Amino acid sequence: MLELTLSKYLIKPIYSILLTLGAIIGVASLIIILSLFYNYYLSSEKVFMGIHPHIEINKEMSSQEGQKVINRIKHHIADVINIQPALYVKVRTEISEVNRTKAFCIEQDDLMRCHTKSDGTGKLHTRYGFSIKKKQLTEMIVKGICLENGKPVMDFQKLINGSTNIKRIEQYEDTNHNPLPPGFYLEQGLFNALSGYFLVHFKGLEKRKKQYWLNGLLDMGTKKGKCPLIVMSLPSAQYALDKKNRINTIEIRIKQPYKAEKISQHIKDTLNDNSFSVENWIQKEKASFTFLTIIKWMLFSIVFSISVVAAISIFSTLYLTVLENRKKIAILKALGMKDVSIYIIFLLKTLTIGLMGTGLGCFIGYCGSHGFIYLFKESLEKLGIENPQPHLSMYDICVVAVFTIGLFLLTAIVPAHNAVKIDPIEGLNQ
Amino acid sequence: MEQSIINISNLNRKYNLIEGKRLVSSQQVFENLNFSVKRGEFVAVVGPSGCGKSTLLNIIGNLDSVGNKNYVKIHQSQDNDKEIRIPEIEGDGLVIVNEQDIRKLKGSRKAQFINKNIGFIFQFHHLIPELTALQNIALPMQINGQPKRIAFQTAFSLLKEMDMERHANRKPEILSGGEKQRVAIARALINSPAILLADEPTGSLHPQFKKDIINLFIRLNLEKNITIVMVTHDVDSLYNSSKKLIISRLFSLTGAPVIL
Repeated sequence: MLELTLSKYLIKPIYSILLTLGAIIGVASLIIILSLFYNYYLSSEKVFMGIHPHIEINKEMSSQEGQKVINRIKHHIADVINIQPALYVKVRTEISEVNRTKAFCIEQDDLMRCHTKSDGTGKLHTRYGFSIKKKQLTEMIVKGICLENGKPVMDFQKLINGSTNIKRIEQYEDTNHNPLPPGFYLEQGLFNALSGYFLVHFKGLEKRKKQYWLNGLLDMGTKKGKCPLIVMSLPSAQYALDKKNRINTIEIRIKQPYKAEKISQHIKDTLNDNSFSVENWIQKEKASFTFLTIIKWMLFSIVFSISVVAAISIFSTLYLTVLENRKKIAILKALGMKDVSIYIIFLLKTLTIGLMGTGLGCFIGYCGSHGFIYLFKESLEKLGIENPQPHLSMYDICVVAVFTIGLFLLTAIVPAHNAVKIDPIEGLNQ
Repeated sequence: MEQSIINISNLNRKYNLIEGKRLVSSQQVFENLNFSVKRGEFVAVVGPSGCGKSTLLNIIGNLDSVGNKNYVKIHQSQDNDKEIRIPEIEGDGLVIVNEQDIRKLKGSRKAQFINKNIGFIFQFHHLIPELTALQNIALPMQINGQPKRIAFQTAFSLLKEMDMERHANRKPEILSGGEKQRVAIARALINSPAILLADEPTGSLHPQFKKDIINLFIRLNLEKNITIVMVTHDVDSLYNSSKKLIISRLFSLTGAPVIL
C-alpha cells in the first residue's frame, strides 16, 4: 500500500521507535496497574462478601421470637445456608492484658477476678491473681454469635490471627468439667498478643472486671461503626451485656451472595412486618465499594495521564513531521495525491505505532504483572491480598487496546489535517 | 478548426498587500488575459521575473485556484475602524484545460484530474529524496491506483527510454542535476498526461545539460505529440538547441513583441 510506504519515508524511523516505546510503556503500565488493582478489588470483595453476613434482619426481640423468625425464613427461603441469632451492642469497654499467677484469693467477692478450680464439691482449692500488663478503654462493638455445626454466619476464620478453633467461644468448661473463662476474638490494633488471659470490663453493665480468654485477633474488614469489634458467644454476650434472652439481629448466609438484594426483598415480603429492617451486604458495603471504585478511577487517571503524555508526544512529533515535510507533501499533491490519502499516511503511521505499542505493551504488561506478583507476593499478602494472582480479562485488554489506539488516532487528526491544508505552491517554494 | 487543449479567457489576478489590517497596495498581474494552446503545441511562456509566468502555469496545472482566496479582515478605511473581509489574492476568469472547467474541480476530482492530465516539471526537480529514481518515477502511477509491479515496469521502461536505467535504484542525492531532471521528466510522463507543464526546467542546470533537456522536450513533443507549456526566461537556450522546429510559439506575458 502506497500510503504505508510513504508514511515510512515521511516519519523518521527514530521518531517511530521512540513513539512506539512510549506507547509500550503506557500500555504495559496500564495493564500492570489494572491487573494488580483488580486483584486487590477481588480480594476486598471476597472479604466483604465472605466475612459479613450476607443478610441481616434487625429488631430487638426475645430469643424465642427470633427462633420463630428463623424457622419461618428457613421454611420459605431455600437459598439460606446458615441463619443464626446474634446480639450487637456498642459499649464502653476496658480491656486489660494480664499475666495470670497463682495467688490466694482474698475475699469471696473477689471471685470474679479469680480463676477458680473446683473439685466438684463446690469447695475452692486454688485461686489465681492477675498482674495487669496494659489496659485500654475504648468504645467497642460487642457481638454475640451462635454457631451452627461449629460455623458462624460471619465467616471470619480467614481473618483470624491465632486459634481458628471458633468452637472455643462456646466452651465454658474443660473436659474435667472445670470452668473455663469465656473465649473471645478481638480486632487487631488494640493488642498485639496472639492469645492469653484478659480482663474485660463492660463499663456500666458489670460491677467488676471479668476474666476472658483471647482466642485470636481479627485482621481486617471487620470494623463496624468506626469501633473495634469483639466477638464472643451469644450467651456470653447476653450475660455480660445484661441482655439475657435478648437478641437484636438475625444473620443469614446464602448460597448466591450476589443475589442478596433479591433475597432480602423476598425475606421482607415473607416477614411482612415493617418493624424488621432487612439489610444485605451489598447495601452495607456500598461505601467500601465506592471507595474502591474511587481508587480504581484515581489509578486509572494516573495511568491515563501516562497515555496522554504519550499521545501528546505523538501529536507533537507528527506536527513537527508535517512542518518538516511540507515540501514532500506539496510534491505529492502536485502529483495528484488525494487529501484522503494524505490523511491515511498519518493515520496509518499512528495506527501502526498504536498497534505495535498495544501488542507489545499488553505482552510486557502481562509478563510484568506476573513478575510483579512473583516479586512482591509477600508484601501483597501482608496488605491483605490473599494468594495474589494477576487478573486480566480479554475485556480489560480490549478496553486498553481500543482506548490506546483510539487516543493515538485522535492525536493524528490535527497534524493530518494540517498536512492536507498545505498549499502546494507554498510548499514547493519552501 | 483544431481544438484548444488549454483555453483561458479574461483571466484576472490581483495581489493585495495587507499590513496591520490596512490595505497597503495592490498589484495586478493578469488583466483580462486570453491564452490558448492547441493539442500538440510546444509553447514557451517568457517574460521577466514577477510577471506571472509560474502563476499562469500553476493555474493551468490546478495547483493554484482561479478565484479569490486567503481572506483577511481589514479596516474599511483609515477613518473607519469597521472591519471588512477582503482576499489577499483576487481573481476570476475562465480556464478550460482538456475540456474541463477547472474552477469546478474540487477535492478528489481535482487530485484525480492533476494525476491523469498534468505532468509537472519544476526548476528544482522536486524529487522525494528518500525514494530511488525508480520509486520516484512510479509514484504518480501508484497514486493513480495502479499495482506496484505495473508502475515499476512502466517506470523502468521510461528510465530506459531516457538512457537512465543504470540509475534506477539510486537516490536523487547521488544523481547529477541533468539526471535528476530526467527522472523528474520521466515521473511527469508516467501517466501519459495530456499536458506537460515545465516551470523553468533548465533554470538550475549546468549549461552542458540545458541543451540535453531542451532536446528531450522537443523529442517528446515531436514523437509523442505531447502538449508542452514551458515557462522560461532563458530564450537563448531554446534557440541554441539543434532541432529545426523548436517552439511553435513564444508567448510574452508582458505583451512585448518576441523576436524569433
